[in-house]
Amino acid sequence: MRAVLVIVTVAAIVAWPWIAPRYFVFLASLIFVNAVVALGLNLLSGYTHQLSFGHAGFLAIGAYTAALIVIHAPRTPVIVTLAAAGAVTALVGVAFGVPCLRLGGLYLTMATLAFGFVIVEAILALDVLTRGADGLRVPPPAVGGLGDTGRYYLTATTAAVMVVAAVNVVRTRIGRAFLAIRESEIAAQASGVPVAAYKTLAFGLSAFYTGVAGGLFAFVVGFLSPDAFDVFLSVDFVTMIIVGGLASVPGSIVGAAIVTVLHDSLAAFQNYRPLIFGVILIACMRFMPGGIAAATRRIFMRLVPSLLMMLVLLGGVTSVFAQQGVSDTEIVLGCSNSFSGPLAYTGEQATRYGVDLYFKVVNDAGGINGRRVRTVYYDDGYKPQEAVANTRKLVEQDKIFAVIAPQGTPPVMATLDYLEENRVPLLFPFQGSPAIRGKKYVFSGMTLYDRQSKMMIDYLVGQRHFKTFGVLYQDDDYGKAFLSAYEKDLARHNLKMAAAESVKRGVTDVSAQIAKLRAAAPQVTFLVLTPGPGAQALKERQKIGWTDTVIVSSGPLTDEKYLALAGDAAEGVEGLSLWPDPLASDLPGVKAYRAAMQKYFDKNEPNRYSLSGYFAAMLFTDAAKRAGRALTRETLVTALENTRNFDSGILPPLSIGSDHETQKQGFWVRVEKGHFKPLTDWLKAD
Amino acid sequence: MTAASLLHVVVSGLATGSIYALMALALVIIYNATRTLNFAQGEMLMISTFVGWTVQHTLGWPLVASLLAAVVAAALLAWIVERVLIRSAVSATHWDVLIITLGLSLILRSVAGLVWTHDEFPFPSFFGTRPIALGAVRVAPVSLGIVGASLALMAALAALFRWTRLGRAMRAVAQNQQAARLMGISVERVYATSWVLASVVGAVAGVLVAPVVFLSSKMGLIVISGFTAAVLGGFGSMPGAVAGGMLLGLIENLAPLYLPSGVRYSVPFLVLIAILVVRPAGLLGRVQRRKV
Repeated sequence: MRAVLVIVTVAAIVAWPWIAPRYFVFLASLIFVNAVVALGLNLLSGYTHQLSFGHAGFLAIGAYTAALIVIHAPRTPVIVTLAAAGAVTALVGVAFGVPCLRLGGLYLTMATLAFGFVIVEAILALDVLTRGADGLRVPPPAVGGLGDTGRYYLTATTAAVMVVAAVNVVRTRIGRAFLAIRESEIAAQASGVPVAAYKTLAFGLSAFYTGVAGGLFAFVVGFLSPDAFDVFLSVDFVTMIIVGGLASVPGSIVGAAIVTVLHDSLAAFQNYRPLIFGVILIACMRFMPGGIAAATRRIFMRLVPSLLMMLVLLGGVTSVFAQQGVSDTEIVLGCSNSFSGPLAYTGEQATRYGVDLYFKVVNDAGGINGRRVRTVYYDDGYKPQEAVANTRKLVEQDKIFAVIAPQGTPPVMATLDYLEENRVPLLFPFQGSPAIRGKKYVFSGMTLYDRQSKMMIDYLVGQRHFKTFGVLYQDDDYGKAFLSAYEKDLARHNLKMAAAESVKRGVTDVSAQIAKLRAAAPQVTFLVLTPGPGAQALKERQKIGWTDTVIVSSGPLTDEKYLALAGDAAEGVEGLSLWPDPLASDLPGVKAYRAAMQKYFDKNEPNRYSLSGYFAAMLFTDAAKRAGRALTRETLVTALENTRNFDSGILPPLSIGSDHETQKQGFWVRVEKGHFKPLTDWLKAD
Repeated sequence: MTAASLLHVVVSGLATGSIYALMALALVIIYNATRTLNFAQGEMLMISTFVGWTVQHTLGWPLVASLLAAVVAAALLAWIVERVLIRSAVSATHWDVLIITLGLSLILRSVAGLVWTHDEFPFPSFFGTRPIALGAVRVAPVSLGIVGASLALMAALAALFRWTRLGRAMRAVAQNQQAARLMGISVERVYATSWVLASVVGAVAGVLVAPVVFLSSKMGLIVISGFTAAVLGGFGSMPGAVAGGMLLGLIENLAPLYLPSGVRYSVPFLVLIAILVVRPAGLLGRVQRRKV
């Protein structure tokens, strides 16, 4: 019976790429990667009872090691790369594990939590190697143009080897020693088990597994950035072994499969996803202690995993769409965006209250050439790997016509190659990194950061004659992109940045940074932050009574939210504004936007994020209308490229050329009595 | 860098540190009673602060009323959570409650997003931000206010644990649960009181810190600093939690002053790992010897 089961499983795994839709081949690869992590974590947590919230850090080490090998020594065989990823991570694991030997329970958990944070910081700090917050693109490894199927077999084989190894390890003296330590360290010691050596071994082994998985992760996802490896990823791994079952090899695999599949199928629930996950965690602890592995001893519980799998497959076949997301009656668009995580508010406003708002107007007026527009959104929580999975699902399962208004540089960059390869248009992403230039199917959204910087510096130096500059920037892709652009543009005017200070996302206090900037006494101080820290910086300036500098906010920061948070500390702040005031402007387009918001979402306040999404939908609608009934991806791209003097009533007449840039302007504002007062007409940077 | 501005940074650091200390205290109170970690402490703080804000925002009541509303909401939430989710799981390993509170934190953050959106909101403060002169030094009332209010709350807690019957019962349970039960102390009541007390301390910290970091569904992440502070000081030790919080606040503020961007944000965690290596039970904690 057991043998039959094994043979059937192996046969199914081998045949999978030929029987399953393309997306499910990718999803299965992800399951194998996660299964290897879960095995590794279970060796440490399940067998020796040392709970770790730092395994995302180990995964990162393996992933970056593999990526760097592939980049700098592309001829290295895959197996060597993976082994190296595992070995390096194991070394780090032992180096970290030895000092942790003295720590018990809670303290060890805390140390692993801290370890995870240190690794993310290390990735940011070693940006010469890792490209820091910009993210690292991983070229395919050298096994003859590894496609989806190749990657699938690579992960499947590796996972199989690791599973067999784990089964053997836990059945030997080592496994028994681990279990003895779990039951009672003191009793194990008394029975002659060298506890310290075995605990170190458990750490090393666990790290090795996770490192190998990291290597696979790099190949499967194809893009690494520190955002991928936050503490919530570690929480996901813990969830896998809790759901699957502690100290169980099959449990690890089943847990990884269930969590991966749930993550995927719940992405459509957007901001309900963390809620559902929380309920699952609690339900598991309350009603299924020991996880699936223990529960399968009760007959009816055996059905649960198979039922879940059935559900996923059903979800797969229900997409009955015609080609390319355009049918006689419908156009399907979508994107992966943040509905949870640090940029959840922006994501929800830009999509559900921005893009959808305009499409509601369009649909109620008869649609685009007789076709209604439908949108699909999935939550990625600002993680690149989830953006990749979501985008593949949108393209391969939901068969969307184009991606519209995704958000954030790391998630967007992670999907760039895939979309370009598959000739899916990527329209108007809510990010400003210039790295998206020069792609056939990509059209920019907001004014790119280098253009914003050029406008700002040219205006401040050329028209206002300022000479000394300082900057307070967020320690991520957004902040650093602006910092380097400012430095470049200042150099054109033979000027230098007098002081540059960084702020971490979610920081509690910025007094030290402001004190250092003040000591440099710049005439102008740039803020490249998100609304919260931006307002904190303004309040801090008020606290120390620093008045002899002009505070200038960057484009994405210049919005009402930040004024509302800062209150009277914002008076006199200047900045580049990309959008007219969504609440007060009497431009015809903005009035129409407010009227639509009033009509469809009367509880939602107008704001710049939803205005930008609304504008993106407008641009799409204009081009799609011109492309006519024979709408294809190619005709859409041509129509977009031929946009001439499109008058939205929101921005000045807009033309798109072969450079695929949409918005290129901004105007100068100063805060007076709590409102942005325009100081210039639209500025341009060509 | 002048001495005056250095002093300002130090005072700001102590203000941040007081908030961390309150978070750490809340965690330690629960830990001492039930030997578990409450991962949802930050989200409970966030929910109670949101309730306080809603009272202030919709009813227009004064700030004191919103503080009271936050405290009541915190107490109620903690009581329900303890009764419904925690009590039945507490006898199992320390993981069970930890994982349950982890799930709870995900749920609470999601619920906050659905009710109040994931936006950030300004929160009124008891104290102003315009600096006042104390001799040659200028300090912001908000920093002094946070430190002062936190110290007052800590003193009240210390008095409660030292001199009241309830405090003695809680200390007894922390020392030896079985013995406490045999002495006629209702351990279950101590569990419930500890959760309520911890949640109330958290709510006060939330109302104090919300004007500084702003009110949002993300503000619960401050609990990670609370953990770090509690571990620094030695989990279980109340003076340790206060010392750990203050130390962490200072480190976080002084690191950007003297260290380059690349390493400054790792410093708190590196210090944590270093202290654990040297003193595995934290600065003021005691290693518990377990007899077989």
